[in-house]
Amino acid sequence: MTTAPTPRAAPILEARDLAIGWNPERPLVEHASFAVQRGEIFGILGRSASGKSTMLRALVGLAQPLAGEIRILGRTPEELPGPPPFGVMFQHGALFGSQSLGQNVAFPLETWTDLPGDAIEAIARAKLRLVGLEGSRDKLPSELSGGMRKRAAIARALALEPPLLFLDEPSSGLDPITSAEIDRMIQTLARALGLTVILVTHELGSIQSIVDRCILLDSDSSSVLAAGAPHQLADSDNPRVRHFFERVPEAS
Amino acid sequence: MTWHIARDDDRITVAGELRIRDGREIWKTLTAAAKRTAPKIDLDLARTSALDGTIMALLVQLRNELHARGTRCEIVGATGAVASLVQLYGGTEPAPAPRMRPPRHSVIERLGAATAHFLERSREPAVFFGDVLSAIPDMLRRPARRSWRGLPLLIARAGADGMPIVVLLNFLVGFLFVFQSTPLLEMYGANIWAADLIGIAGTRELAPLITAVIVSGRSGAAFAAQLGTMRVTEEIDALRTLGISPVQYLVLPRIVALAIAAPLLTLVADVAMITGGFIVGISDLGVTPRGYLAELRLAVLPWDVWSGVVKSSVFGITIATIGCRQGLATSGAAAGVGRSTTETVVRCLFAIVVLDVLMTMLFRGVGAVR
Repeated sequence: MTTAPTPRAAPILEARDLAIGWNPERPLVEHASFAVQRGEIFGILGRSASGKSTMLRALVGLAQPLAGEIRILGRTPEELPGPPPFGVMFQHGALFGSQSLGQNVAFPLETWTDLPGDAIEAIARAKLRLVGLEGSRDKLPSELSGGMRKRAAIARALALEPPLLFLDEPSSGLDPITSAEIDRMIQTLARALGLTVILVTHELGSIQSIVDRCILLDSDSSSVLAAGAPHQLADSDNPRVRHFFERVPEAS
Repeated sequence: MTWHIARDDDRITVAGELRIRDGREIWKTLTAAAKRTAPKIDLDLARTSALDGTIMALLVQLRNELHARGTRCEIVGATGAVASLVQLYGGTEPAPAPRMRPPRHSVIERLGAATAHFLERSREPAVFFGDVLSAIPDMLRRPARRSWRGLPLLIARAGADGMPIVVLLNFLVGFLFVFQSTPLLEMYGANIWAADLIGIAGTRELAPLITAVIVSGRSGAAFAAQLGTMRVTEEIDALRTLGISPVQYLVLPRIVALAIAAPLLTLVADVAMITGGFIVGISDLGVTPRGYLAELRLAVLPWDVWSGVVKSSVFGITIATIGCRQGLATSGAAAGVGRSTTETVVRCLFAIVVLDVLMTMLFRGVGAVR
């Protein structure tokens, strides 16, 4: 069982009255306000098409929110200087297909640091070791399984030592053992590196085993249906929230 | 026949076993039976022994159509497995409200909407071009090491790899151009002017144009496909989240590569085209090689060659810009990449011809060419 860390005054990420989606007349989610504290593993949950990935895209600056404000380390995304203070792992990894895993991890270091080539190589090797892929440094993404691609993407996301890590469905589409391994790896890395992790998922296993606090998005009501620790949401008075955790179909 | 459909005043009785193999006949019979209007017509399935889901879908559709025509209609009498199918296919739910026809817009409204749509579509390339221009100072201030590492390879792929097809096509066009002019030249005893003809037309117009067409098909389409694939696999998004501008990292090197490769290919194309004309000149028109080359030296001025080189550099920049923009604007999956590639080639060909006309007029206007 995980315990939520003691909240501190300044959140690492804050969303205020956020509306997301493509159609301003019918946002996927609106009036979403939440704050993520340093060191937390924070879950953005919801059913398919509830706006989880769109929320993540808005938080990392890939999609413009329809309304509201996002602050990361107290600044709006436009005010953030230099390399972004966060890493992102996309659902299918989004590794650069023409580059080996080592090159993928070295890429942000080559772009944003003036380290010599051998130092960059050593750092890339160390990052790949963190995710258990030290032996696959020279492999191309196409030679890897889905789970390995996701792990490599985490290594790349951690290349510039960001304090904040966004993960889009890290354990979806994987077998239960690999899925549990990834969950454990995320938890270990977060605790060891002092990372704040924002996790988009609908995998109940991940939610219950590693998430400290979460919000549940609902596209029917275009709102954040509930917020709190997973066990609190599982015992919620709101039947729709409870049904999500009990895997009860809506029609029931 | 294992089924039977009969119409009473307020009832269509569906009896027997109704299977998909008889679907066409069943639908025809059902619609014929429903033709005569009445305030209420029920679909009675009490004597239906079995039916496929497909036939049930047709029955529900008929019920909805009757409802839309203002006839009250229910599916009644079903029992056992047939009743389960009725429920599964929504036959027990109320018929949906008839779909409202979209309001008709006047010509002026449609013209306004089309103009707004056109302006919106025109804005996107302009914004992209602005992004490209604004990335240049950034690139000069802080050139990303990785951005330019691939430049020699890009030039080699666009240039050296395309050389055989450029040489072959330009040689053949030069050959055909002079070959088709042969009767006219002979008629006026102007055989030696074959060298003038292909020398001037080739270097100024034909070689840059044909080379640009080949570069559009090879490199423009390839850029759209590469960037389009990166877009649909979220690699472009990954670049952005690493704080790297796709325009600076992917687009600018490709524009520079084609700005260099296209003129180099054009110079090779000039030689190939003139060689094609030369072969016809000496074999068909009886011009001596020495005479042909001497006439060529007199006819073709350095600016003729340079104007072609300038044109092809502009063509190269245009092709790379269009290919990259289409690639980055790709949406959807593999089909989207295909669409972007096709669109790239069409837009490139259009842009090349328009730019060629404009530059030819400009060069003539400023007196740069005769």
